[in-house]
Amino acid sequence: MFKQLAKFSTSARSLARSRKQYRISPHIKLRPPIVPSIDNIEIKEDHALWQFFEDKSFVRTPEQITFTGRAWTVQELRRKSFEDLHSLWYVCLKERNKLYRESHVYDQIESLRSQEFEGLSEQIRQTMIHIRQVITEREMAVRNAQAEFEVIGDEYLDEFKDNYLKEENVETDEWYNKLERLQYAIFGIPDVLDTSLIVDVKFLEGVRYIGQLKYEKFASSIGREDIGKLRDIAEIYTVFEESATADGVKEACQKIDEYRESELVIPGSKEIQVVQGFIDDKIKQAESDLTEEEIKE
Amino acid sequence: MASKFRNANWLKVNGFAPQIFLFRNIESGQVIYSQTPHVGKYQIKQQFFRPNWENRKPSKRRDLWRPMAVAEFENYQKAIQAYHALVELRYMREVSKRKEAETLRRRNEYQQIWYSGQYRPTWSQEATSDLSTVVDEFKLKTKIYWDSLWRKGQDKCWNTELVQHTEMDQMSPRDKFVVLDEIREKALK
Amino acid sequence: MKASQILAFKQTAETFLTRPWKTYRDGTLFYGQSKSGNKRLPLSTKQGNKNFYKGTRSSGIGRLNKFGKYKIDYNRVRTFVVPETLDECVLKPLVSSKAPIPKNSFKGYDLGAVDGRLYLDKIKEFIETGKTEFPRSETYVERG
Repeated sequence: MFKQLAKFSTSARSLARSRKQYRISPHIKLRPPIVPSIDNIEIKEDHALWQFFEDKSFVRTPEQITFTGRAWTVQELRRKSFEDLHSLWYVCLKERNKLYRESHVYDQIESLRSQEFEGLSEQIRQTMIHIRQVITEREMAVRNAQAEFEVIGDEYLDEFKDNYLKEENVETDEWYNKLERLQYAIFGIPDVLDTSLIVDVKFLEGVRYIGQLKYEKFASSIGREDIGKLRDIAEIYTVFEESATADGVKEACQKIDEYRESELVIPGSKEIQVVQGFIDDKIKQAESDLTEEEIKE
Repeated sequence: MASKFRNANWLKVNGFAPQIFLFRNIESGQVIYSQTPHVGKYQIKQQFFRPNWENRKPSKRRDLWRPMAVAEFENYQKAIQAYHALVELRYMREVSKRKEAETLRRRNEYQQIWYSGQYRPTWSQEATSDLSTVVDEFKLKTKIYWDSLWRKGQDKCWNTELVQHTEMDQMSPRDKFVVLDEIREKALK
Repeated sequence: MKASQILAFKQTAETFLTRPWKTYRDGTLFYGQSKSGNKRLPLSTKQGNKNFYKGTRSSGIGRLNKFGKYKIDYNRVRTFVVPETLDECVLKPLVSSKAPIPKNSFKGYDLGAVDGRLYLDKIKEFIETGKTEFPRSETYVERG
């Protein structure tokens, strides 16, 4: 093997000599090096890096970016929703990326005009600072409100309950919506339940409040005061789940009757698990109903 | 695999396609021709003549060698013919026709081969031009898979009747050998 | 080990400033290289003694497992959530200088914009009336 390696590695010339039919003519003219060409490259229209360019131009002139505007103020941003603020943050970020790239181009040729791009970028930074301030404000306000709610929350809920019980006709859209908004704003229970929902103590509190509220309102009118006090979370949840009408509560009461025959009582430690189970079952039921409908179609 | 010259029969028996692999050194820009998708001591010893400070003998570090192109020919004889010719042309450029080759290289202000850091683009450009010479000289019907079509240069440098250019799948350098293997399998079908 | 080093942090502001003069048992300075110059600048990565590791805030996204392989914990990897409706966003980074700046007033709320009672009042209003659009004009003063 050693011998063979030596044979083939001496030089290409001896190698070529031994294989005459393969040999390239020694008088062949060497061609100049082929320089790579940019014409061969196709750039996609939606290439991600185009996000660093304005209208696919290399750089804007400083005249193109002269803009006598101002940054968004905090007062203006306080009106905006979280989605708007989130989008605006990214809009600013992208614009600053462009400006930074362009100012770098001017920097490379040692032009002082790069400062104009930096100035604009600094203005946009002000907007971003204000966005952060608004978000921080909201965060702090939520925390303060939660602390405040500990103090005056029960008072408000009692007041709402009084109003609800006093009202003669609550089977209207107005009150349905109010109840929905209350459970969403105070207890964080969304209108439509989905799989991402996680039951916690706050959720149970909401279930208890709303369930109790509906039961107290309608128990006497449908003549089901014989049930007495709702005993555990399963019973309350049954009422909570039904609609806020006399019929809904009536149906719930029938279910409670069936449930009481089994003489089960759910202990406090199991409440979260049980309610989560109820919700999961309901979602599964809804999903299977949907698929059945699809099959029928 | 790449430790010595491989004849047509060996290539066929061991499941290699009639191809020549061009690897480029990402540090210096030098190019190695190989019959199999490997770079070894043998190729370095065989293909680098009269090293100097501008054209050092490269190391065989696997991370430095990236596939630049794969030239696919009609049969094993032609692939071997092209391989010998490419090595021969390298020899001419460095030894027998060195003066002529030197005049073609781009120079910097000190009349050295143009470079940036360790990198001299002329080595890979010469390899490309040699490949086109070989294809034209032997009238070989060729399909070239380029790492990036950018390297093939202007269309007028190639005989469009003989050569077909395509691009390799874009992969991370670590997975490039998988791409080479796929090209090999496609050629054998 | 005695907790004296930890307790040293709890001393007065005066002794806190003299920390550069404190040394470890082996005589190396607690931080810094010399006792002269400004002692109150943040340390760079190159400063400090053998016990000072500043880091680059870029690490710590995983753990080495028992085979010595680094396993990335993707809960700790920094991610950037881009809003889904970014393409539909019509807002621009800056506004016209002619646009009127609305005024806010927080009368009756001690903490201003972050007041908890203000937030609760807003929630109460929301429960009563749902989402409402407030009018906009140059003279209109918003409650905040």
